[in-house]
Amino acid sequence: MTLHLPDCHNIYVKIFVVGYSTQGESIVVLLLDSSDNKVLLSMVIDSFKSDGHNKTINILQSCGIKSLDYLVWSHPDYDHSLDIYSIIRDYCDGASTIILPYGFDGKDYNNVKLNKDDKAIVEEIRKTFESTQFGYSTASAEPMQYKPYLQEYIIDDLGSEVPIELLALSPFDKLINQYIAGNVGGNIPKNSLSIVLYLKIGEYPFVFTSDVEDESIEFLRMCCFLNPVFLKIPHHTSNVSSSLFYGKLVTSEQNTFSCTTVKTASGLPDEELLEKYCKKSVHVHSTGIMNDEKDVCGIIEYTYDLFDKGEVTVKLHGHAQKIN
Amino acid sequence: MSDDIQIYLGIEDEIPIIEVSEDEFSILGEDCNIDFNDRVEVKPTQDSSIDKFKSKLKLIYREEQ
Repeated sequence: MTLHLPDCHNIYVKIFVVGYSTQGESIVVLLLDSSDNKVLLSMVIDSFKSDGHNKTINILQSCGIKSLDYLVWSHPDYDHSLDIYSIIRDYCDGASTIILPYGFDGKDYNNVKLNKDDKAIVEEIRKTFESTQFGYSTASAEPMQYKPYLQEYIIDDLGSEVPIELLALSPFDKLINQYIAGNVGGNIPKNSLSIVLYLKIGEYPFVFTSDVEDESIEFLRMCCFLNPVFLKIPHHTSNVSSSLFYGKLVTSEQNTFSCTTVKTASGLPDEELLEKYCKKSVHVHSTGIMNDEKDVCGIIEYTYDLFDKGEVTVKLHGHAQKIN
Repeated sequence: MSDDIQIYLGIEDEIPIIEVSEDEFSILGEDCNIDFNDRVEVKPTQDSSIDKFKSKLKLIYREEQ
C-alpha cells in the first residue's frame, strides 16, 4: 500500500482510548488527511460492551468508517473481547487484515486457559469467522524481532515521503510453544498471547501494549521502549505482572503521552506505578472509573498533528481524567 | 564537477560531505553535472518543512474542553 496525498503536512493521527467503568478496553486508531478529513488508515484493537453500549462502534459510525483496514484482537480475555464479533461482522470485509495472537483461533486444541465468560465469547468469534469466511493472520515474533504488517511510504505531490510501519512485537511463538509442548506446565495464560503493536509514522512511534506481562516484556524489541509519543501502559498499569516495562521505558525526548485503562476488581491501575509513569511522561491520562454522572465509560481522544503544528490535543469524554 | 552544485537533502545544521553513490548518480548525475564517486556537499534545504518529515519535533500539548 502506497498512499498518495497532495501534501503530507496534512496528515494527522486520531487515537480514541475507550475504557469502561470497571473493566473493558478498546482502542481506535485513525490516520487522516486534514484537507478533506479522509481516513487513510483505520485500525481497531480489542472491544468491549457495557449496558448495551459498544463505544467503539459509536466512534466508527461517527467517523464514517464502513470497513476497517486492521482489526486486532490482542488476546482472548473477556475485558478485551466482548462484542468484537459485531465489529468483525459489521466493520470488516475481505480486504481487512484481521490479526489474532499466535496459536489461537478459538479451537479446543489451543490449550488456552479460558473461563466460562471467555469461552462464550471465543465461541461467538469462531462462529463469526465461520459465517463470514474472513481470513485472519496470527501475530508472532522471535525474541527482539517483529512481524511486519505494514512498511510503506506516504508520498505527496511536493515530493515528500513519510514512512509508515505497523509491527507486531509480540507474542513470542517460542514461549507459547513451550506451553504447548508442556515444558512450562499447564494451559497457556491468556496474557502470554498479548499482541504488542508498534506503529511508526515518520519518526513518531506509537506503542500499544495490550496486557503484555513481564515474561514477554523482557523479550520485546528495544524500539518499544524508546521515546514513544503515545503509550498505552501495559495491563492496566499492574505493578505485579507488568512492572518491567516501566524500568525499560526511555523518554529522554520528553515527548511521551501515556494512558491507562482500569480493572477495578484487580485494583488497577496501581497508583504507585502510575505515579512513576507520570515522571516519565509529559502527561498521563486514565479512562477513569464510574463517577456521579453514571457515565458508562471514559474516552481519551488524542489528536496528533505531527507535521504541521507539531501539536497533541487531548479531549476527555465521560469519566476519563488527567492524572498529571 | 562544477563548484555551484548544491544538493538539498540534509537536515539543518548538518552539512556532511558525501560520496555520490551509483544510485544517486543515476538520479542526479545528468541534471547536476556530477560524476559517480564525486564528493559533494549536502546542504540543508531552504524549506525547513521537509525537516519535519525526517526528524521528531517536541510536541506541544493542548487540552480541548
